[in-house]
Amino acid sequence: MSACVLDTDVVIAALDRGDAHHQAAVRAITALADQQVPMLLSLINYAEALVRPAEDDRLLRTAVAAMDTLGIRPVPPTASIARRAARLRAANVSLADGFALATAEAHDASMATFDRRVQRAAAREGVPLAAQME
Amino acid sequence: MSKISSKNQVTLPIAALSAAGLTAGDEVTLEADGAGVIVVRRRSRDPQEAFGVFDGLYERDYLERLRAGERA
Repeated sequence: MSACVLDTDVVIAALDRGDAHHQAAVRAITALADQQVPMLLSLINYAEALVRPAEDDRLLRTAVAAMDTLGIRPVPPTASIARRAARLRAANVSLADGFALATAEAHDASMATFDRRVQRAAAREGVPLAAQME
Repeated sequence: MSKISSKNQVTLPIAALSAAGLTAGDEVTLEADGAGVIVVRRRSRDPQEAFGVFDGLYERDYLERLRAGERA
C-alpha cells in the first residue's frame, strides 16, 4: 500500500477539535488507518505541528504520544529532499510545504493537505492528493 | 528499590504499577525526561484519545499567517 504524506494543517486539524477542518481530518486519518496506508510526516512538518505543545513539557509528551497513537510516522529529510524542497520554494509554497511535497515525491506517496496553494503545487508536480481527503 | 541490571532491565514495583493502572502485557513507551528521570507511559491504541489533544493551542489561521510571513 502506497504511503500518504500529511501536511501540518491536517495534523493540527485532527488534533484540535476546534479547527474548521477537524471532522474532515479525522475522517481522512481514520480512513488511512483503516486501509493500512502508512502516514508519513516530514520532520520539518512534525516540528511545525509541535510549536505550541513544545511550550510545555507535559503537553509536548502528550502531543508526541497522540501522533504515535494515530500511527503518524515522522520521517527525516534527506539531502535530496532538502534540495527538492528548496527548488519547490520557487513555486510559491512555503519551505515546510516544500518538504512535505518533496517527501511525498521521494516516497512515491500521496499527499494530504487542506491548503489549496499546496494542492495546486502538488497537481503541477504530479503528486496525487490522498483520495481519503475527498 | 529496583536496580538497573547489566541487561538494562528493571523490575517495576507492584505498588507503582497499581497506582499507575498498568498491568502485565500493557504496551508502554519509555522516554527520558531530564537527568535521572524516565517516563513509562501506556501506549494507547484508541485514536479517540488522540483527537483533541491540541484543543485551544492554535488560533484560527495560525499556519496560514506563519507561512504567509515566510513566503513574503
